[in-house]
This record gives sequence, C-alpha cells and structure tokens, in this order.
Amino acid sequence: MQVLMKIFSISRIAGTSIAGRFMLSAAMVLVVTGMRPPLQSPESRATQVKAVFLYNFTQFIGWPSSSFDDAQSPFVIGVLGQNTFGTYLSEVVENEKVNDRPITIKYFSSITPEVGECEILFIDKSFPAMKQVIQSTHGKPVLTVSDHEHFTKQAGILRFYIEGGKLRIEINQEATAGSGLEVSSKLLRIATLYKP
Amino acid sequence: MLLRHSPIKRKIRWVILLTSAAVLLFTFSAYFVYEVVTFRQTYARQLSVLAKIVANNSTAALAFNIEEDANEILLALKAEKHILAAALYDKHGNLFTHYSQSDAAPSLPRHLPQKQGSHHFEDSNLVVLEPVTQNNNALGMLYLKSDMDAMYDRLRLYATIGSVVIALSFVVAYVLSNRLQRSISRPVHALTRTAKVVSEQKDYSVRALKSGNDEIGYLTDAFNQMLAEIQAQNERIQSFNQELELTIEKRTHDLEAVNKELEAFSYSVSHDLRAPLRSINGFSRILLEDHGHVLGEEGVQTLNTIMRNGLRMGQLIDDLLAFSRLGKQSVTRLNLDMTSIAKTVTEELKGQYGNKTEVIIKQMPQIQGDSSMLRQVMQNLVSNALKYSMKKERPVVEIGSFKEHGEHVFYVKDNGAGFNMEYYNKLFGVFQRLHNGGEFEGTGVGLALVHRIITKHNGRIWAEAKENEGATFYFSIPSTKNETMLYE
Repeated sequence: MQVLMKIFSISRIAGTSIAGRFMLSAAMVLVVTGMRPPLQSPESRATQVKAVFLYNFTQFIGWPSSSFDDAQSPFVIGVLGQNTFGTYLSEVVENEKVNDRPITIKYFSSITPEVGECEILFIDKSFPAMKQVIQSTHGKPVLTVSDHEHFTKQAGILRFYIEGGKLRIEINQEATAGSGLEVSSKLLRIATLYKP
Repeated sequence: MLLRHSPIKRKIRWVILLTSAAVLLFTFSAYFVYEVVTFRQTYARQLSVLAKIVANNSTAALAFNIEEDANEILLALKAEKHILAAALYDKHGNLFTHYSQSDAAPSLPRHLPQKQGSHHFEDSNLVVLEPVTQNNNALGMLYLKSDMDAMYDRLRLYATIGSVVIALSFVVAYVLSNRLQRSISRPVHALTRTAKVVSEQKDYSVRALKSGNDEIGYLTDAFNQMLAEIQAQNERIQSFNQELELTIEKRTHDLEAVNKELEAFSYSVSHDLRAPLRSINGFSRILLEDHGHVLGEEGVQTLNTIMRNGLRMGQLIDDLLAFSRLGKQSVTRLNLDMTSIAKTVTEELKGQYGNKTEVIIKQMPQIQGDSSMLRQVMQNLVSNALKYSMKKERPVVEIGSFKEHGEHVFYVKDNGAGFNMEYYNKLFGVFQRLHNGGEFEGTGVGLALVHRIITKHNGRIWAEAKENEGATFYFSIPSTKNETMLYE
C-alpha cells in the first residue's frame, strides 16, 4: 500500500500528459510486480496471478487459532513440488501480514510432517502423489490449492483453472468440512462450486 | 417615513403585516439554510453508506479478478436513480469495471482520481470514493457519482410550500390585522372626532364614548372629565362676569353721582368763598391806603400779612376751581409744538424766580393734545423745577423728550431740592406737599392737576428724585399716526 501511495505522489508531480501517464502506469506495473520486467508468456502471467490469489485467500478464509503454536507463530504458505513461482510468491507476500502474523513461504519437494502444518499448501499439478497429500492434510486446517485438473475431484479444496483466458477458482465445499477452515461467503460467491 | 402621517388604522395594519412577514421570512430562510446544509450532509452520508456496502460486496470480485461479478454488483445501483456512474478501480488504480446510468459515455477517470477517501462535490454532483478493503487490506477503490437532483427536488418542494405558506399567512395576517386594529383604532378615532368637534365648534358639551377599560378608555375618561371641568368653569366664569358687570355698572353709576355731587360742591364752595375773600382783600387795601398812617408800623405789617394770606387763599381757590373744572372739560386734540410751548412758558416764568436758572430746552416733537391743558402741565412742571432749584448756586433745568414703546415721553429735570422717594405715593395727591410752605410756596394742587390732565390724555406721569440732588418729572402721551415726527 505504501508503494501505491508513492506512485500516486509521483504521478501527481509528473503532470497530466497522456504519454507521461502511460509511462507511469507501465512503471507502476513494474514496481508492483516486483521490480523486474514482466514475464511475457501467458503461462507466466497466470503464475503471477496465482501467487496474488494465494495471498488473497488469506483475506477470505479464517483459520482456527489451534493451527498456530503460539502468538508469534508465522503464517505459513507451503509450495509442494516444482516451484513455478520462482521468487515471485515471496515478493508478493513480503512485508504483508495475516492477523499480525508474518508470512513465511516454505518449499517442499516431498511429503513431510511439516506439510500438514502449513496454513495454505499449494501443490503443483506435476506433483505425482496428489492423493497422499490430500489424505495427509485431511481434517487439518490446511487450505489445499492446486492447478491440477482433478484436484477437487480428489477432495482437494481449491482448484485453479483457466476459462476465457482468465484464472478462475473452483471450490470443493465438502472438503473443508471438519478442517476448521471458515470460507467467506464472498469467496463462495465468486468461486465455482464443485459438484461431484 | 411615510407611515408617520398615515392614520393609526393603517399604521397598526402595517406593523402587524411587516412583523409577521419578517418573522415568517426569517424562520423560513433559517429552515431553508438548515435544510440545505443537513441535506448535503445526510445525502453524503447516505451515499457513503451505500458505497461502503457496494465496496464490501465487491472485495472478492476485485481480489480474484472476477469482472462479471463486479459488474453485477454495480448494476444493482440501477435501483438508485440518482447514481449517475459507479466504477471499481483495482489495487493499482486501474479502472476495473464501471457502470453508468445513461448510455452516454460517463466521464469516468481511467485511473483512480487523486482525491482519496470521503466525499466531495463536483460541479452539481456528489462524488464518493470508498476504499475496498478486506481485513484492512486494500484491494481497490469504489467511485460513486450522484447528482443532487434529490436535493434540488426537495428544495424546490420546500420553496413551493414555503411560498404558499407565506402567501397564506400574509392573507390571514391581513384579515386578522384588519379585525384586530379596530379594537385600537376605533376608540382613538372616536376620541379624535370628539376632540375635533370641541376644537372646531368650541362645543364643550359633547362627550367621547368609552369603549373599554384600557389606556384609551382611561384617556377617554380623562378627556370627558376635562371637558366637564371646562364646561363648568365656563359657566362659572360667565355668571361671574355677569355679576361683575352688574356690580361695575352700579359702582360706576354710584361713583359718577358722588363725583358730580362732590364737584358741584367743591365748585360752589370755591365760588362762594371768593366773594367774602374779595371783600376781605378789598377792604384791607382800603384800610391800608386810607388809614395806614394811623395804624403805625406794626399795624401796617399785620395788615400786609392779612392781605398776603388773602391773596394766597384766592390763588388756592383759583387752583381748586381749575382742578374741579377739569373734571367736566373734554380734551380737544390739536397739533401742538411742544418745543414752542416750553419756550413760551419758560420765558413767562423765568423772571418770577430771579432769572439766574440756566434752562436747556431740547427739540421736542409735535403731538396731538389739548393746547391749554398741556400748557398748564408744562407751566406747573417748569415752575416747580425753577422753584425748587432756585436756592442752588447754579440751578439748571432741562426740558426734553424721547420716544419709548410707542409713546412720547417728556421730561423736566432740575438739580434742585428733590424729594424723598419714600413719600412718592403722596406726590400727585391734592393738597399734598412734601415741603413746608415756609421753605417753598405752593398750594399742593399743581401736581394733582398735572396728573389729571395727563390721565385725560391717556398718558402716564411719574417722577424720579433724590433729596438735595434734584428731581425729574416724566409724562407720556401716546403717539398718533398723523403727527409729524421731528426727531429720530
């Protein structure tokens, strides 16, 4: 947010010429997307959006206090399997907090006990043991997210999919039952509900 | 102010009308201002509440980039006809989606307007910017633009109601004031009418009708009381006057009779006294001429004293006769040159008093009066002046005149014995003398005679004196129009 304000103050000083505005908005994208040239391919653009969505989930889902060891425990976002985000995810969540908890990103290549202690777990679609992951986090306050085509079918909670060139969300409401997670009705409104 | 000279009736009506109009206008203006202020506030608040609801609903749409959903939310604003346009901007200030009431392209900024938070008035529109946040996390901004037609509609309605109310109130006030002013103006009018009758026709028998027990009623009572008083006094004065006239008539009549009697008496007495006196004087002279040598010196002297006193008595009788004759004489008015009269009189008298007096005769005017009478006055006054100043070393007598209050005032001034002002009131009485006969001769009739003559000429006589320093006698004759002015 601070960054945003800075941009506005710059645009105010820079005047009103259209070219100037355009340059500025381009620069703004640069700044917000992590101070590097934007990735060109639609796939990498989708990855960026996924990263932002992952962070945005923290605003629309409630975790029970039992999922944290103590008041100082960080909010953990785990990435299981191949890391397609690069450093992008960590840049998105940098300096952001969830209920005063700093956000930590952990990368896993295999299923460890720690995987079940994440608050959000993103499983790359290339990860082979999807079923095991879902089983190991079942009943725990872990929001499982994946872009795997059959993720919700396999009782995963959230699934990313592309429709009309846009990234959409599908939710399996049954999968959240017993996990202690509280999904905001606002999220339910805009998400596609999975029906078996 | 024009109102000052208009009748009370109109004054009261205007006072009531203007007061009520002022109060109404003031009250209404106050309400109007209050309405404008509060309506703007209320409207801004309402719009901002609406913006909060919309913003709160569009968080997820913004967070997960669902345009259709955002559109749907904004479309709900259609129900509010005053919303001209609405737009959602994303976190980065880019236009995400928008809604506009009319098909005409709304003048929505491509990027987030710089003015952030709260609301502001743009031309005649209200613009509200509401941040879209979820759990204190900024997701974007909602832009709402509403016209103020609601306010104008309301103000127009308010103004219409106000105008109608004011107009109606004015009519009611007019009718009421017409009714109410009567209770004040009618008694005042009645009182004025009565006062007019009294002052114009001098009719003190009319009475004003009392209408109530207020100040005007009190005024009416007081007025009637005054009228009654004046009427009673007038009657009393009239009867008193009649009585007085009768008394005066009677007294005058009595007085005239007595006066006539007295004058006849004194005339006959004086006249009858002359015959024996003439015998006394004649036989005394014969005695002195024929038998003087027998009588001896002492006898002659005694005889001389008898003759002198006889002559004096004759003089006294002459004076008295003149005085009483004056009562019957009427004044014959002729043009008289007072200067020449004074000169002649002085010439005649100077020798009698030893010629040593310096007599100054100033220029005096011509007046109208009785020639012999005024000659008598001048003679008496000048002879008095010469007589009483005779014993001074350098006796000076001045005769002159001046004009004062439309009268000619003449004076005869000497530097002789004068007299004590204490005895002033005895000065003009008959047989009244302030000096004894041994010192200055005289009968005591002269000044009384002068007084009588001047009074007959409608003039006044008075004197100023100081013992041993001299006396000044003044007499005035009213000036007439056709006399010749000889001095300024």
